[in-house]
Amino acid sequence: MKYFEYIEPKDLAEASQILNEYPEAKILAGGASLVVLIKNNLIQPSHLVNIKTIPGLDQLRWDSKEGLKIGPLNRHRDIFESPLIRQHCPILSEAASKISSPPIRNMGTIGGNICHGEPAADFPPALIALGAKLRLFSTKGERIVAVEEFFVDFYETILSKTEILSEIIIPPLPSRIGGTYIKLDKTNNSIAIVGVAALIGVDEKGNCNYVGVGLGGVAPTPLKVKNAGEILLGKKVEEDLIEKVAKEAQLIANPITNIYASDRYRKEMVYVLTKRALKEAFSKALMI
Amino acid sequence: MLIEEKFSIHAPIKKVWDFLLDAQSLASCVPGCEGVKVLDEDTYLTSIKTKVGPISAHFKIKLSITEKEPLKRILTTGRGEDSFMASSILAKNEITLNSLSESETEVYYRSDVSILGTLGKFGEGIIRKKAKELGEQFVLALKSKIEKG
Amino acid sequence: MRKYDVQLDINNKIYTLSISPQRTLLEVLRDDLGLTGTKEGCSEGECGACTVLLDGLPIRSCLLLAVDVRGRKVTTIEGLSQGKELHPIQKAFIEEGAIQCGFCTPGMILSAKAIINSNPFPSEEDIRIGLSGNLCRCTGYVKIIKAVKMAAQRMRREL
Repeated sequence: MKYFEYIEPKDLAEASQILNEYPEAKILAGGASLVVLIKNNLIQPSHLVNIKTIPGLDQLRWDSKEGLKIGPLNRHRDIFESPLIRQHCPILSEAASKISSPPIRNMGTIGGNICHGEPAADFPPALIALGAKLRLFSTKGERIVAVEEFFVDFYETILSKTEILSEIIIPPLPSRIGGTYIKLDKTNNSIAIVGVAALIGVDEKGNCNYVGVGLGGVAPTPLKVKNAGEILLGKKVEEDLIEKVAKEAQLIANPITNIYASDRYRKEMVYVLTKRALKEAFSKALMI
Repeated sequence: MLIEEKFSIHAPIKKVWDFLLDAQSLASCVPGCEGVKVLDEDTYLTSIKTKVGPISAHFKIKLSITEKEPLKRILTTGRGEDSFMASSILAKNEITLNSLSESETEVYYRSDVSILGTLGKFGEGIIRKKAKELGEQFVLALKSKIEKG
Repeated sequence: MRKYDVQLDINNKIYTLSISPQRTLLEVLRDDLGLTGTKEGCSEGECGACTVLLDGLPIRSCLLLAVDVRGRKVTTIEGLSQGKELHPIQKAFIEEGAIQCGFCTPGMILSAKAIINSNPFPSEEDIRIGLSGNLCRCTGYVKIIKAVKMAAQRMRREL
């Protein structure tokens, strides 16, 4: 690889400062995506800022009011194995298990997966369905954004030059909830052709009290099916309403054609898989 | 990948033709184009800068006019390279003009683009979508420059 | 161009090196330390030929910066045998005929070690998932999976 300077900051403020001083500097977490880009000469960073040296970015804790707080340096493997995550949002464990292979899961981090901005990444749809929020840190201040607002375009996020993702927040969910992440891929955990994450919560009367649907691989960014709530909340989860949400997903999809699948195929499959995911999520919710 | 577009410009066919054959004017409509050098009547040298997320590509392109049918058709071939990223681009282009009226010209353009090397491998599908966007920007720029000029 | 003084713990031996930051662990293992058992396949973290264990977990050494290894323990294929005595997994691979060209073998064996370490009773599914990051172009995987099963069995007996 081409030469770059290597820095181990002691805290986020220092890391953000370095980003401010050197516009061509890049954050290094797991390196699973970043190093590949550098090796192929697609990016030529001047500095790599290794945030793995900063303590506290890999914590994982539950706060009964605010929900689950996930540090960005948690590796896919940590997300998969975490009892807290299995307890509070197992859809995230499911998404983690579908990322690539064990060595990549041992290196890659959830923060990196989000910030890389890959439209077909596996965590974003699950995080969108969970209503997750992202805390963005910079020396100029902090802001919290909804996951679906974070993505701008292919490999482009709203992170400013000096901002670093510092925390992922998953708000508490209703108790009777079921979710699933369906990934359509060519082989064995390869990049998603279409990814659909769906969460449905039901109250004691059997009416839907929560719905979240996130889509991956069908647009320049991961997408939220925004009208799902309008269609399902407060109503009985029935076939025709699920159909409506699936059609909505198809409507907002704007996929590319590449060697794995055509745009038409993705457009078709996002409808099929959204239906399937909603049905599965609903049956899981009923089992609680 | 194939990029095709058909649109009409509010200008007489001769004006459109002259504009298209003027290298500087044409270059000013291409997004990311950094200027053009005329080598000879049928050969231009240009460079185009484009960006997808954190990835910037800088192509040096040689455009050759392979066929000219006055007031009707131009065929060109563009060969370019971003040596830094071990990528090359080959584009076979066709622009066909059709006079709809004295003041209205229909333009049809078609570009058969191949991106080879690292960029092609990285995101051919993404590039295709970006190329479509660039095509749309090109058409807007072309229309506004000819209609206002 | 700066170089960094790092201490690498490879197969329980400490090496002190002065390394340029853009060099990967794979490069340093092969070119600086002569540990050529770890192979370079795709250089992009897809094939698994470069697999080594970092604190017991398989990772892609072609994607890890050597300066980033930072005090963690690296195990390469060379670290498996005890002197001339091969590790049970290595023996199982040989006996089951799970090696053809041998290029994927070091990575496969290290991934197998990680599987068995985390679960002494791996099912076929566990083995397939555990090896899913290692590609083999020769064998069709059947004998590799058999070898891992056999090795797990033997290692259980030794416990």
